Amino acid sequence: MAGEVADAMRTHLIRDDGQEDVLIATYVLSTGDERTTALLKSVIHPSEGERLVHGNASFTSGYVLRASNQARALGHGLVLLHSHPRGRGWQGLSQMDHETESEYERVARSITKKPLLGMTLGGQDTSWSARFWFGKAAPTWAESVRTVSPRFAVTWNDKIRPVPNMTNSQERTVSSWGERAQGSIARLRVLVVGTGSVGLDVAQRLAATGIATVGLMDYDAVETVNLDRMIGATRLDAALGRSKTEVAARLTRSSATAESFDVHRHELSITDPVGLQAALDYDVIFSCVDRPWPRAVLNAIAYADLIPVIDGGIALDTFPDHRMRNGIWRSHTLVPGRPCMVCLGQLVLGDVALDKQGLLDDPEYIARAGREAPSRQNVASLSASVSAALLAQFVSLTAHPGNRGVPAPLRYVLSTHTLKQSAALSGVHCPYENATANGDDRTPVVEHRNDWREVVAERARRRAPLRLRALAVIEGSLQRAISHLD
Amino acid sequence: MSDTPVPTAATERFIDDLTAAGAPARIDGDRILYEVLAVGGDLSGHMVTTGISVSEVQSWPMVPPHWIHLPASISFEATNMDETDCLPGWKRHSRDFSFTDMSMPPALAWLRHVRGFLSIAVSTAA
Repeated sequence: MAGEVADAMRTHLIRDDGQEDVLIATYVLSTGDERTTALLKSVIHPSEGERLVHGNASFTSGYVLRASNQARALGHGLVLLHSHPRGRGWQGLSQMDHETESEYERVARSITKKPLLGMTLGGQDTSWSARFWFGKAAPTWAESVRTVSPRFAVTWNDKIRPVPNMTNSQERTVSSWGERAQGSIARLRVLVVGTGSVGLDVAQRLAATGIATVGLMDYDAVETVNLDRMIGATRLDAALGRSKTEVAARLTRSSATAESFDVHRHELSITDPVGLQAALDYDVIFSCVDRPWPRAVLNAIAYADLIPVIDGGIALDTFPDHRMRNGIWRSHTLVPGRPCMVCLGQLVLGDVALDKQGLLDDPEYIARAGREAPSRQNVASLSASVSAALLAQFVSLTAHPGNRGVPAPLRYVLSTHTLKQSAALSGVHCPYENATANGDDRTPVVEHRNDWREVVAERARRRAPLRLRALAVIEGSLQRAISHLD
Repeated sequence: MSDTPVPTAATERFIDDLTAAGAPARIDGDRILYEVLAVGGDLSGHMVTTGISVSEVQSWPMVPPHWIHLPASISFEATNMDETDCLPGWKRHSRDFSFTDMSMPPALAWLRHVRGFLSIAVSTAA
């Protein structure tokens, strides 16, 4: 849920007199490959006499019926919420709460045609817990409840996703922000879209931080021209034309400090429906791509599906004689409460249509349009600054140093070595931010395409020379041996 | 029986948004047509029928269209153009749309962009 919705619900549910209270809200679904998320859309406050507060609060049937009909008119599902003022952490269901939700399950499903969602707020630490009711007998518990704002907060269901054991190699990390923060951050599923220079560095550092599940999305292969920026990629990787996700997975595994580490390779394009669906399984996404179309898709996910997207990039400027004039790198986190890429001026919507039609790769079109060809300059010494800026956003988003969340969008000017905060605000007509929590009702920005599928298929068909395959076998054996060292 | 495809939600929204911004729009086969009052250049004061491909508004308003369809009698000194999706006797023209100002409705921004383009048109029929 967006932070604004969580605040409105908490304000109602936590009473000055310390009694429990109840509330109803609506939801829509956001469906990934393996995970289904309910996105809270709107809060329906009780009218006079529609709920009873008597130590243990209760809904009247009139309130539930009114809200169910309102939810149906919007095409939403129904959420019944109640508070445990003295509760802390993930809350279970008392017999009475179980009976209440079980009784209203059929009412909500018959009217809205969607399963009832039950939620509980623990008043002591503002922890949320949730469960779907697919039938009357017992609920299906959620894995987590995520509140998305400049301060990203997750309440975990420890039974479904237990706290990972801390390892010896994480000692200094844990001492920096404590076991509680480490226990939450390590459980996040983090996706890196684009595993070139910045994405590769980000993925390895996430793994070293102790994140237990990292996803890598890219359909390209390593080429010799990439080796000056993809730190850790080898000449053998380029000679074999290995996929970037394969190389990133190898390096990320070798950096991982988690006791049990999962790396998921997605040789997909984020601009395709299959890429979008894979991305919707993650809690936080790093945008390490520079083309307008994929960035538009990620910009949409941040708001429509309430998955924080950490984005940035670098632009190097040269004089006509090729000496360096300046460099600027940016970092920003896209969440409700912070402006989107378009409002920031970091995504020109008109360019998205050109990118979709392949015109940004057409030299004849570019020449006739009087456009400048896309800048190709990049320097490994500076791309580390971009990954550092993105990772600092991640730490602010998840660990809240100084009790603060992510800053306003940042811009670092290399020539003067100054760091500036952007004063950009969200535009009232922004179609991305106005689609917040639309979930599966989103306007599609993705499109099924075959071009990237052909790249992946061609790579799978290619057979490397015997000499390179022999080297790959030796390399693999060495890596397996090293990974078994303590 | 009609074989006219049912407009998608995005198509309908584009038509509604353009109409609300002052340019009533309608579907014509693979195109959406609407009238724009030219306010500068050779066409100043003329109401110009303009079009875009239906396929280009399928992500509206997240992704705006790009190509501007115009009668072949309207030309430009320098532009990328072709006849994809165009009515007979029409051409579609490319013009960069630098749209980042979210303080105005996207449809209004699009109309202003088209008006700006028409102001540099060279007309043989105006």
